[in-house]
Order: sequence, then structure tokens, then C-alpha cells
Amino acid sequence: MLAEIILAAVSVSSAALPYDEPYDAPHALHAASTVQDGGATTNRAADRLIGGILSYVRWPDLRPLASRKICVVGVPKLSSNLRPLLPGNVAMHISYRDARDVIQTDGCDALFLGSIPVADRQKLIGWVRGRPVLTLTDTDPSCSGGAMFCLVERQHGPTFLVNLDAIARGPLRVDPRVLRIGKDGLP
Amino acid sequence: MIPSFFLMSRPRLTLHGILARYHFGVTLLAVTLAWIAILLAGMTALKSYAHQNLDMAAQLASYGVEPGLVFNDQAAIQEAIDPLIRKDGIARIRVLNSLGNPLLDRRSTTTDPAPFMTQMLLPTAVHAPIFHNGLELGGVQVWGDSSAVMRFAKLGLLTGLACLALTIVGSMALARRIDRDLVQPLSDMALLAHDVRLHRHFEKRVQPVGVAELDRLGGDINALLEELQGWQIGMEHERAQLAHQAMHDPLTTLPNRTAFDEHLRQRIAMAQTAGGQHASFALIFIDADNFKQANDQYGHAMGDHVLIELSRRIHDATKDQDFAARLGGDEFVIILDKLDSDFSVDQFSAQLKTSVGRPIPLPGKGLYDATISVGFAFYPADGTSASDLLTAADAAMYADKFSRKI
Repeated sequence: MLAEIILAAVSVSSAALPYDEPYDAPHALHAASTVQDGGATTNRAADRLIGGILSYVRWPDLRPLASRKICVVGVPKLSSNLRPLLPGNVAMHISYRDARDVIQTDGCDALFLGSIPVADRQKLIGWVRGRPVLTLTDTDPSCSGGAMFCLVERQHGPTFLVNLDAIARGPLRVDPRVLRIGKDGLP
Repeated sequence: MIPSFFLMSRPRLTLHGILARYHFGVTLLAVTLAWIAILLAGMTALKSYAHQNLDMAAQLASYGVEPGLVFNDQAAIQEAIDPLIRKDGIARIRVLNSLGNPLLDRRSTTTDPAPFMTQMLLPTAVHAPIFHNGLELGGVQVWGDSSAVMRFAKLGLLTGLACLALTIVGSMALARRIDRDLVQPLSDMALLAHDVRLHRHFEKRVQPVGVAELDRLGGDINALLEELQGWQIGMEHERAQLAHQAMHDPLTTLPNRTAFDEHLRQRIAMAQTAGGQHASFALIFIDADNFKQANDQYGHAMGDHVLIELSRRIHDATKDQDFAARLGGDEFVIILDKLDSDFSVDQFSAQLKTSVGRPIPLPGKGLYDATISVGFAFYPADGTSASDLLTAADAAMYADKFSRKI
């Protein structure tokens, strides 16, 4: 089926990553974090933000260290090669899908919404409501489109905004410390 | 004599002083021990409390800075630490990454009030690791200072001083109470014993005070006083009796020769100094004429009977202020104290001979014909000394006796 086209399925064992390495020089990191890799862009700071957010979200039916399935819909703006940096020994599966496929298969723990048509976005946001699915986007600078976390580019590098309404509508539990950090990202 | 131990040079102690001193000493010791115990226990508790406090602060810091490390957000780390570093008792907080490099190092703006206390109680930093999803992201080190400890120490010192003041006041009050309940009654007893010894007030008694031992002592003292009082009354009575016996004739109960000599001496002295009515008096010797024969004839019992009767009559013949005595055997004497201006020797002599020299009825043995001889001597006409007067009266009495025999 068309929906089965998985552009990339990356299994990431984040324990293998030197997680603490970037922290030694945070500002230097931002400057050098965007790596051009043969047309595919990588943003390690964004990967780190996404991993951090994921690590502070609790799914009602997932154990804290169970593997997470992350579905990317559309093309992410910050990075075309998302590899979330998750602290701790947590496995991740990243798959690239389209909106219809996500709704039909219902196998995603988190949705990363890249640049997609407004109709698809609204459909997905509506479908997510009440489901244990985390929504992230990097194409909503005011974070009013219904996604729970919005990655935005700032002067010092990427940061994120939080849509408390969207979080409150779902069954996911988000550590309040993250909400505070998210708020800090507001201009 | 005063026993030598009362003369020792060491200052004499009072019961009040001893009790007050011991009382204060014991209370002071108790308070000091309690104070030290509390201080030690407090310090130990405080040390563990301070450690726990630091531990908690470290845990709190670890929890607070965790997302800052996860999201690589220096501002978030700072915001998590800032409220903690302002807390009392925290001197320094350092956040380390997993390689041990410091991400943040903050020191308290307040100065340590007693660095030696910090050195003693909290010499090392407390470390709390920062874990996220099972991965150690870094750690937090927290150093404490002595501000909280010093507050307790100051409070403890003040409390101790307040306790000390309270102890002094309390022990003074207790000493006063002991003084009232114990020392005062003892002092009263001592005063009473002194009074009894000095003034022979054997009728005084110790009043009960309501303390068993003191009342027992008081009871014994009272019993002793009662005994002493009994002895004293008996002794006085005996002495009076002895004095009476010494001055009186046991048979006739008239004053004896000793009493007469004393009375005469006093009377002469009075006549010499007083003058007037007292300037003159008469001495009258009375002698039973035939007493010896009667004694031989009727026996000594009858003789005694006659002497008693004669004494009674002589006594009756004298006025209150006059003095009648038995000199011995059948010899009697009268001192007539005041002589009326119309006093007549013949008249008084005759009066005596009729009132005294009447026959005396003997029990069952008829009558004894008592006749008496009387001799007068006047002061100062017949002499101014006792012996002169006695000689004159004696001579007059014999003259009277022989005048009738012839």
C-alpha cells in the first residue's frame, strides 16, 4: 500500500550517543550545530530539544524506558534528518509517513509535524485529541496551531514553546519542569 | 568553760548558710548538667539536621537543574539554583556535568558567622547526582555554613543564662522556704533553750511546727523541761523546808536560837539606823521554874507536851510585830518591837505570868503547875549590843527567879 512507504526507519539507541558531550560548551554548540549532510540537514540542538521533551513526557500505557515510535509527517523545517537525542537507554523508531497513514495505522507515540497542508494538519490535530500521542512541530512560531510543543529558532539557537491547552486535552503527562523551560522560550 | 571547738578561728557556719549553699550547688550542678546535655544533644541533632538540610537542598537542586541539563539551558540551571543559594545555611552550590566540569558555581552573599563551626559540623560538601531516564547527567555539590547552627547556639546560650538566673531566684526562694520551715523553728528552739538556761524559765514550751523530726525534738525538749521544772519546784520546796528547819525549833515550831540571834542583830541594826519608834525595844527572857522536876516526874513525853503548850501561850501573848523564840530547854525569849509610852514592866510581867504561867493539864495525869520567871532588858538603856542585852535580860530573869524562891 501507498501508506506503507516508509521513507526511513531509524532505530536509535541513544545510550550509544555521547549525550553529555554537547553540554560542555552550549553556546559554541549552537553556532556549530547545524550540519549540512549531502542535502539532508541535521540540527543537533533541535534533536536534543526533541529528545529532552520526549524524555519528560509520560505515556499512560508506556513504561518510562520503553521504546518510542516517532512518526514524522511532512518535511521538518529545522532538520531534514531528525535523530532525537534521548538521555538514558531509550530506544526510538523514527518513521516518515503521511497523514492518512498515521490515522489508519495508529502506531505512533509521537507525531512530528513538518510542512504539511493545513487540512492535513487540522485533521491530525483533531485525530490526536484524546489519544496518547505527543504532537511536535517546527512550523508554528506562535504555537497556536494545536501542536503541544513547537520548536522555534531563536537568536541563540532553537528552543520550544508549549501549548498548554493542547497538552491539557490529551491523556499524556508532561513534567512541569519542561513546561517552565518551554515558557522561558517565549519572546 | 566554753569547749575549745567553739573557739576555732574558722568562721562559724549557719544552718541557713549551709542549706542555701548546698541547695544552690545542687541546683546549679543539675542545671549545668542538663544544659550541657541539651547543648550536646542539640549540637548532635543540629549536625544531622544541617546535613539533612544540605542533602535536601542538594536533592532539590538536582531536581531543579535536571531539565536545564537535559535541554542544555544555562539560564534554566541558574534559575533553579538562585532561590536555593539565598537560603539560610547554604554557602555554595556547584553544578557539574557528567565529566565533572562545573556548569555553574554560586556562592552565598552572606558571610559565614563562625567558620570554625562550619569546619566542625559541615566540613565537606554534600553531593547529589542528577539522573534522567537512568542516565547520570551530572551532579550538584552543596556546601553549608554555620548561620543556622549559630542561631541555635545563641539561643541555647541565652536559654542557659535564663535558666541560671531562674535557678538563682528559685534556689533563693527555696532557701527562704527551708529557712521558714526548718531553720526558724530550730533557731526558736535554741533561743528557748538559751532563755531557759539563763533565766530558769522552766515553764516555757516549744511550740509544734508540723515537721515530724522537729516536733519529736521539741516534744523531747518539752518533756525535759517538764522534768526540770518538777525538779526545780521540788528543790525550792526542799530548800524552803530546810531553811525553815534551820531557823525553827522542830518541837514547838517557834523560831530557834539561830533565828533569834539573826532577828536581834537585824533589830539592833534597825534601831541604830531608823530611830523614832524603832529606836527602842525590849528583850524578855522567860524560864519555866520547875520544868526539870516535871520532866523527871512525868517523863520526856509529858515534858514535850508542856513545852509545846508553853510555846503556844507565849506566842499568843505576843503581838504580830513581836518576835518569840525558844532558845533551848525551857528558855524562851520575846522581843517586844514597839514599846508604848505607858509600858510598865510590872504590868507586862504580871500579864505574862498569868497568861503563860497557868497550870497545864496533862493528858490523863493531872496538872503541871507552870510558873515562869521573867527578865527584862531594854535597848538602848541596858545595852546596845546583843550580848549586853542578853546578859542583862538573863541577869534580870535570874533575879526574878531567886526573888520568889527566897
